[in-house]
This record gives sequence, C-alpha cells and structure tokens, in this order.
Amino acid sequence: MSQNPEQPPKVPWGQRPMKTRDYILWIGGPVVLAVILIGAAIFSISRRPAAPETAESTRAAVAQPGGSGTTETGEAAAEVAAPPPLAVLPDPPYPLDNPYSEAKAALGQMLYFDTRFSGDGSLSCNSCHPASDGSWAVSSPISFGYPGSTHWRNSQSIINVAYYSKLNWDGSQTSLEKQNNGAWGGAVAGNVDSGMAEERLAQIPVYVEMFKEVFGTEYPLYSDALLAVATFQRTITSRNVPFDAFLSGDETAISDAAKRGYDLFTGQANCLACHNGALISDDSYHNTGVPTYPGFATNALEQITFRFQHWSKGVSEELYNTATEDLGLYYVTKLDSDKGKFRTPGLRDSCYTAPYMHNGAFTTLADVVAFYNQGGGSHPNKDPLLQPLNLTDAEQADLVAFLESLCGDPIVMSAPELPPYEVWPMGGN
Amino acid sequence: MAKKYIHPPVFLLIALVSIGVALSLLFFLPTPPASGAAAGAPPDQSTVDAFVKGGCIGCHTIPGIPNALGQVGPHLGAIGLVAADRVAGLDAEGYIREAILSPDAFIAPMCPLGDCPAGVMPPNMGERLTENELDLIVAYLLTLQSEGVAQPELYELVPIPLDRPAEAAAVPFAEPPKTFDDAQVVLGKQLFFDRRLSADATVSCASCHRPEQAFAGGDALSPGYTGTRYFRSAPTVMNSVFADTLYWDGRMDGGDMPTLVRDHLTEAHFMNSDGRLMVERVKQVPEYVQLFQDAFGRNPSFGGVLNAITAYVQSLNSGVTPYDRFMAGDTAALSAEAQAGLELFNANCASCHSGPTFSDNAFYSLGLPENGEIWADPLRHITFRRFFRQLGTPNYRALRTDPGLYALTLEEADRGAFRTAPLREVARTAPYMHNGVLATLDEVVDFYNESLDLQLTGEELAQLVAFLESLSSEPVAVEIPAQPDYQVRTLGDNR
Repeated sequence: MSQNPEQPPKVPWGQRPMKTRDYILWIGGPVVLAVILIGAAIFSISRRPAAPETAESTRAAVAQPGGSGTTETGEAAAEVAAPPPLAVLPDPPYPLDNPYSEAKAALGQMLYFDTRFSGDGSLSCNSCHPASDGSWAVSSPISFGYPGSTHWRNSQSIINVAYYSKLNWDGSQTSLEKQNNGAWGGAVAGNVDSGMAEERLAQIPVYVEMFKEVFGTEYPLYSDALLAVATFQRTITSRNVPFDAFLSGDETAISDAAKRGYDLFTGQANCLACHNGALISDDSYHNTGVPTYPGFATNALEQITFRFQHWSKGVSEELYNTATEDLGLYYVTKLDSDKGKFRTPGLRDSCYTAPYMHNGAFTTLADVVAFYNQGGGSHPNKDPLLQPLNLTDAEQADLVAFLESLCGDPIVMSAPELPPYEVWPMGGN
Repeated sequence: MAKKYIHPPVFLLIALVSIGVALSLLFFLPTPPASGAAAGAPPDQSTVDAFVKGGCIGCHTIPGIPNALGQVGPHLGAIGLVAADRVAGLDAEGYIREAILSPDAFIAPMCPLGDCPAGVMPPNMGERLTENELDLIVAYLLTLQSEGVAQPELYELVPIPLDRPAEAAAVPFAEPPKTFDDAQVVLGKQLFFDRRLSADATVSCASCHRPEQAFAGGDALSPGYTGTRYFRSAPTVMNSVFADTLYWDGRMDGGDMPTLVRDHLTEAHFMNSDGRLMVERVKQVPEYVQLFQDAFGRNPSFGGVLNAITAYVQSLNSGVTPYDRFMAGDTAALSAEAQAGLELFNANCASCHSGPTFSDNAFYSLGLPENGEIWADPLRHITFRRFFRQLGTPNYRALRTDPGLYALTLEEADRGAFRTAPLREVARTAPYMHNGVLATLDEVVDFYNESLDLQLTGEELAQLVAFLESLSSEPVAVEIPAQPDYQVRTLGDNR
C-alpha cells in the first residue's frame, strides 16, 4: 500500500511524522476491514442450512426464483443471482487440449466398446454405460462394477457429459479425460493397468494405425486413448428435444401438461434454483436427503466396497470406522458442510436413465417429483431450498410431463466391429 | 511537539486482531447441530418380541432387532429421522403409527428391491398387536436414526481350528532357518487358497501353485490372471525358506518373501488386486478376522496378509527323502540304479546343484530353446512386453528371447541367465526349466548331456533320473480349506 505518493520515497517506514490523513488510513482502514469481515461472518451464519430458527427466512427465499440458499465453499457473501433460464442445448464444447476430430471420435467410439480396457478383458465403458438401449447407464440402483466386486453408486448416463465442468456424483474428477482414467483403472470399475492396456493396444495393428493417424505416435499411448474416448463421449448429446423446439418458438412441440409443468418447474416448485441453464443443472452440489442406500447395512459385498471407498478417498480413520452413508462432495473437499452433497444431474433425456439419484433410490420420475414435493428427505445437511411444495397430484403429473418433454430421440448405438489381436512378426521390431 | 509515528507492525497488529475477531465470530457463533442422529438404545426383550409377533422382521431390515433383515419393505434404519417429513400434518410418531395400522395410506419412497409395493403389508396390525406392543414398536422405531445403531449378530462364527496343517507339520529334511507360529500358518493357508484375494475373485495362490503338483504349476507357461497369460512357468514354492533369491530371475531377496507375495497379489498379470479392496474383503469374513486376532493380535491388514501367506509358504518344506536316509547311513534307501545316479550327479551336476536344496542360488545361461508360444500367443507377448518395459529393459519390443537376469543387471553376460532350480520334489514338478520347454526328467538329462557334452550313455542317463526321483519326499495329502463366506457386518462399526 502506497499511502503517500508525494512523500519522498527515501524516508523509511516509521520515520515520518503522522498527519491527520495518516491516522484515518492507519486506524480507519483496519476498522473498516474488520467491519466488512464481521458483516460477512454474520451474513454467512444467517444463511447456514438446517437451522430451525432460520426456516422462515429460507422458506421466504424459496418463494422467489433465484433464492439460492446454498453456501458454496468459502463464498460466504456471494451475490444472490437469478439462476440462468433454461435454454436450447448448444453444440458440445471441446477443450483446447483435446479438440474434436472425426478420426479421433471414431477411434474413441471403438475404444468405448472394447473390453480389452479392463483388467480381465470382460468390461468396456459400454458395459456400465450401455448404448444399446439409449440409457447409456446401468438400470439397477447401484452399478455392478468389476467382477468379484460391486460398485457403490448409480451409473450416470453418458448423454450430455460434455457439458459438465467436473465428473462423478461427487465432482471428484476435474475432466472427462481424468474420469475415463478413473473408470478404466478403478478397482471396482475397469481395474486395468495402463501399461497392460498400452501393450494390448500395440498388439492390435488396426489400432496402432489409427493412433498413429490421430496422435502421430509410433505406438498407442494410454493417455491418448483417454483423449479419444472423451472425444467420442462428447458427441453423445441430446437430439431433437421437444422442449428445445418449444423454446425456439414452436408452441405445439410440447403438450399443455408439459407447459404447465414448465411453469411449475420455474415457478412454484422452484426446480430452476438448481436445475437451470441449457444443461438443466447448476453443475453444483446439494444435499437433498436422498434415503441412504440400504445395501450398505445389509449386503456384504457392498459393505466391502463401501469401506474401500472411504479408505481410498482418504477420510480419517475415525470416519472410516464409523461412516454409515455415502458422503458425496465431502470426499473431495473434506468439509463437514459438504457431507451428503451430490452433483445436480442435468435433466435432459432423464426419461431414459432410470433409476434416479446417486444411489438409484427412485425408480420413476414420478417418484422423484413426489420426493421433492415432500421437501426432499431427511438429513442434517439438507439444503434449506428443499421445502414441502404442496403440489397436487395433477401438478406433479404436469411436472413429469415437462420432464418427458426434455427427452429427445433415443440415442441408440450398437457395438462397432472391433479389430482382433494379431501376432507380431518374429525376428525383430 | 513530539513526532508521532506509527509502524507497519502496529498496523499489522490492528489488522490481524480485527481479522481474528471476525473469524472467531464466524466460527464460534451458534451454529446448527452437525448431526441430529442419536444412537438407538438396544431394544429390550419385550420390544424384540413385539417385532417378531407383528411379523415385521420378515419384510423389514430393522437395526438392533435380531434377524430383521427383510428386503421387501423399506429399510427402517433411519425411520426415526424421516418419519416426521412423510405426511403433512403427522409428526414422526403419528406417521409411524399410521404406517403400521394403515400401511397403504402412504407408500414409502424406496424399498431395497425397488419400488415399495402397495397392498403387501398386512392391514390388520391393529388386531395382531396389543396396544402395549404397538407402543413398544413405535417407541423403538423412533430411536432409529440411521447412525450408530447396534445390529444383531447375524451369523454363527465357525472358528477355524488352529491345528498346524499336515503339509506344514512334516519333519523337514533339514532345520529351516525360520519357523512360524501355528496361527499364522493356519491363517496363511486359508488365504493361500482363497480366490477372493484376486481382483475378480477367481485366482488364488493355489491356482498356479497346486498342492497336487508339489505346489508347482504343472503348465509349461503359467496361465496368469484372467484375461492375461504369463510367459514363465510357476515353480514350486516348497523349500523357498532356504532360497537366497526368489523368482526365476532372482529379482527378489529370499529373506523378503512378503514382498514377493505383494507382487503376486497386486501385479496385473498375477492377481491384479487393489490391496485396499483385498483387505476389506478379508475383513468381511468373520472367521478371518478371528484368525488375524489369533495370529497377530490385530485386525486384518495388508501387511498381515503378506506375512501370513509367507508363514504358510515358508512352512512347506520337503520331508526326509530316500536320498536323505541314504546319506544318513540307510544304504537300502536308494536302489543300485539311484546310487549309480548319485555318483554321476556328483560328477556332472553338483557343481551348480549343490547345498541342501541342490541349488547354488546362482544364475546360468544354458542355451535352452525358447518357448515360441510366448510370441505366438498375443496375450503372452502382451504380458511379456509389459513386464520388461516395467523393468526398464532396453528395446523391449524387439525381444524374441527371454532376457532373464539381464533385465536386472543389464550385463550382456547375464542375458538368458536363470537361477539354478532347487531339485527337491523335482520329479513332481514337471514340466521343467523357466519356460517349461522340457516335459520330463528324461528330456532334462538329455538336454544337459548334449549341451554340456557329458557323453553319458542311455543307461547312465536313466540312472541320473532314478537318482532325481529319490529327491521326492512322501507326498502329504493337503486338505483344501473351505472358503468361509462373506458375512454382513455392523455398518459404521469397523474398529
């Protein structure tokens, strides 16, 4: 801080006479700073979730769209901004370090379906994110995972994966490329060793040629395979969504029930507070009090994975010993206030991706709507945005109709023909 | 007038104190409780009886109530937390009462097997239960708030007897340098045969070190992990407690068998396990948890698994063989043919096959033929390349011979050199050599006769084989242990 620009710069600190202006700056400055911080502190406390005494104020916030009551990490004094409105889905973004090319996407498509990217050669991306039925997700509450194990969360659909800033229910992966690495290498997922994967690719001449063409390498690299698959996945986006046509001016594109549902979604039900923008997700994390997955208490195999996850995610020994539920965003931030928060899923094409929630707690969209109508579940960390909505059955049905208008043409794809291993010629390289 | 100064430290002090005050306000002002969950008290007998009488336990999982593990109706572990939010106008107790007396008035949002079915829960609970029993049930359910609820014993623990296995109890041919506690050996044997130590739960140590083959593989090239194939044969693990180095290329120290076990459990071509997941699997078997207490006085751990398997493997020692009895003075122990073979062995073989296990623990390149299947089978070639790139072997893609010790030393003289194989039990461990190219002992002695130009006659070669056959001890019948099932544990109680 340069307090006195006109003062000769050679006079050292502390050796010049104080003037009135200096008193104002020296003492007033810190006092003003303190007042700001204290104000921020009180403001932040008044907005912490789940305090019974603040229920009235948070309900008031819910009544108006944009009354976001979430406390994002550290941003205590964040401005309350109106959520971005729903919008037509733009073209998928491709990161600068992994631009789109047709050849790369074609290679990625083959790798997506290739089971040789798992430790025992039995699973591909497609196994847990099947393209054949248009869901691009497993239809059981919890994904089955690697043989001999089980996963512990609901498999998320690949559809529109391009638009998220982070991946996984807890946002633990900061790019789609990294997510693919976790899925190929994770002990309850693909369980493949990257060196083994590279040597498998090198044993497949068709792949060697394709990698050479796309990436310019003599032999395929695992890291390039991650780029290729991510590029393919980014091409899987909602197509021909009736609601987009409606937004673009075609009043007949969606039913009257869906239009009423749209009004509820953005109005009384305030779904828009979290499900907003073109993706219909705020790309953020909330605790909605989804019921705990019962298998963690009753299923031995799921208990193994449950404890493994706590171990490998680096929680304290105390928490490893005592945890009874999936803590979501907490594993990433290690903040108690983030316990049980999960990423808001986008709602496009959700009619194809049942069951719902991070643990598949709900089988139908109607169940989900009913859950939010009752104000979500019960959890000490539950987002105060969730309050009973008191919607009639007809209104809930309208909301479901609206959600169905977000479903475009099903994206169904069958496995491409995959090139076989071939024997390397004897006698040298 | 005295000049007044203010120093930067004073400014900093004021600023820091102010910030401190603000932060303390942030942290110490009253905040909502972090967790509203209270541990449920264990139910008394009359409460348990009421749940049983109502038939609740058949369809619901109810923590604290013995045998209440039903999957038809909702899990009730958090009912005390969620009940108040279920139906507008009903508090938690009111909702639970209504849910029992009029089960279809509100259908719970989730059941273990999917949607909660309507019309399944009997509507006559008001008749089945007395007012008092209903009160007991409601009062107990209100205490179930998800966390820390004591769960019933779910199974009968079947203790595994700590009797030393016969194969590890035999009187060995010589005093082993290390011995192990019975409890560690018993635990190690369970783990040695347990397929769940591999990633896909299909491969155990015994899959490739088969007891009926004197704990060798029996294949020219070992099968390896599912979806991979290995490029060397699986040697016997018997008498490994006497070895200076381990593996065909001696890449591990004989004094550090647990590291070799670790390599086997986690390497992509052997068992491909994530050690953390593997330990959690072990913890899910109550008999193993008990055995760990017996063996190490602690809960299952990764290091404990390695040490226990080591204890079993290094207790697998050959018993006294005909050769040993002969050397001790029992001249009838060896046939005349084998005695002649012993003479030939001492003259032609013992310079390398020396010492108590007939190995000098050194490395030699023998000019063996390569096993072409390594490069003709894509899966083996993949494993082969990946292995040598991991070791940092130069130009690994061009290799069409197994470099052996060279991969460790990068000395050209070590190319194709492998550890002198110990010979006890050798007649039971065909096929032979690091790549299994020699199917029988006859082929082995023929190979040496030619490659070393020993000029032995056919009769002499037969005598050598007769001698080698005298190096086997009486096979011990190995009882394959049962693989105890995973059992459900109490959630949130892992100490």
